[in-house]
Amino acid sequence: MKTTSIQWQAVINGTVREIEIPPSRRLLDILREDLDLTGTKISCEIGRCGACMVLIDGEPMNSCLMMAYQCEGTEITTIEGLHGETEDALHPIQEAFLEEGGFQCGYCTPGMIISTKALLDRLPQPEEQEIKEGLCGNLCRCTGYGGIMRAVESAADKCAQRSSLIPAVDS
Amino acid sequence: MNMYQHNSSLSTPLVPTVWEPSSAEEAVFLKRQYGADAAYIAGSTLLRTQWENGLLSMPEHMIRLDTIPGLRGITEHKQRIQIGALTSLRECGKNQLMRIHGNTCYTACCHIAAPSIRNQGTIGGNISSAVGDMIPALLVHDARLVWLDQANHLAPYEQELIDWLEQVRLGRRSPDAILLGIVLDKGEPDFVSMHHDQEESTFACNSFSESSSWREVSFYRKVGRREAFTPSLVTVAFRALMNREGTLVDVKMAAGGGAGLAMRLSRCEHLLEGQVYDPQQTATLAAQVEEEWASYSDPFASEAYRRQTAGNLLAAGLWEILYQEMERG
Repeated sequence: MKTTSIQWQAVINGTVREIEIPPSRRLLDILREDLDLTGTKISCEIGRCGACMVLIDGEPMNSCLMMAYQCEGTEITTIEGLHGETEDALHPIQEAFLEEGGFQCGYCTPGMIISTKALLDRLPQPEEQEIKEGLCGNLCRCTGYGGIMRAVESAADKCAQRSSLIPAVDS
Repeated sequence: MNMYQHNSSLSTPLVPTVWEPSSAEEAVFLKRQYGADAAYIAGSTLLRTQWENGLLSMPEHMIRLDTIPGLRGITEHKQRIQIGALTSLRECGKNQLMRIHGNTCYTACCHIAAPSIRNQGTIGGNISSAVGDMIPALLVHDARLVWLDQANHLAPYEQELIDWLEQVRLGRRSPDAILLGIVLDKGEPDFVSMHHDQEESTFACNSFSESSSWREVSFYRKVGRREAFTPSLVTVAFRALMNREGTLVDVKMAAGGGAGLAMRLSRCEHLLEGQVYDPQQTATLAAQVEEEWASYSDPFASEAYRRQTAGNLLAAGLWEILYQEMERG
């Protein structure tokens, strides 16, 4: 069989999206250019900085490294898919980053928050070393790591206080 | 077999044709058909960095390996375990068979890149790059690679990892061969029986069993350019059997890292083989590693720095094993 493109389908932030694209197109480009989800940031493009981090079936992945065919049929969560109890409310992780000053220029923040979501889903009360490991694929060029560490610790507390993590996306 | 193609034009960048072989034989056929214009694609995490950095051109033909059945997962056999080439690094780093029978490999899988990369990257891709950080760990376990190649009439065959690295070093690597899996021999049951109880660590040390006075000691260490995820500068692995008196036998040491090919350090192994390691020997071992390991310089680190680091990592790691023994009394 020979085609000029694939009919790519995925559930993005709870909504089924279907577009015709080359199978080798990067997920990062699909999100930003085809679907206008520009919260996912473009930076190093080689999987080192984590600015383009998304959740694929709940696991953190670098969208700059992911080709369309590699994530076809999956559930993808971007920063736009995180929210609190209502769609216009902040997610506790986002609240924590704001309150603790877990960002400076803010460019790395979507990726940091997505990685934090993946970490806290797996380890609701992570130790310091576990936070460092969970976020080791995310770089902050402003080197604001102190605030980021505080934000993750605060986010863990906030999530624990609310007894369970708020769903990332509407089902 | 499915094939997807998106035509390129002069005004747009090349968009590769993506092939979906249903068998390894079919993939080899495609690779032979398109030669240097084609590449096997697994997790593609390293390939993507090479494409983006201009070190490699994006191939006109991408041959997917994930459509080939049977290349994922870790299976236990009577005397060995086999790791499918498309098993993710994350899966390897969570697998108890890997932990018991390939402890340094298990540890390496937990320390390669970042969690997001380990979710996508595969052990086969790490090896096929020839410079992956898994390789020193696999070398101290005498890993064998299972290949499929036209040159062997499309019959799977096993090859010692160390022999394949030598082929790479000599530029005689088969460009069409597909890595199907990795084989690790199981150790003696006495050496591994109590491994479940050990804490996860970059340092591993099995307990003595009642029926054996020997146990396996091993460690894996990695140094990069900074503390967070970064390409390695140096990776080392050590594995040996040690008795209650501290005598080391079956010593295996390897070093690699960065863009250099990993190698076993046979002269260093000989230095320790059959010896009761004396902490006074630490400096001697470090110097021997420094002398034996053939590394390279790049803008980030000189060859001298890499050699010295490898020596210090191996000597310090071994010293820690002995220190732990002293602590145990």
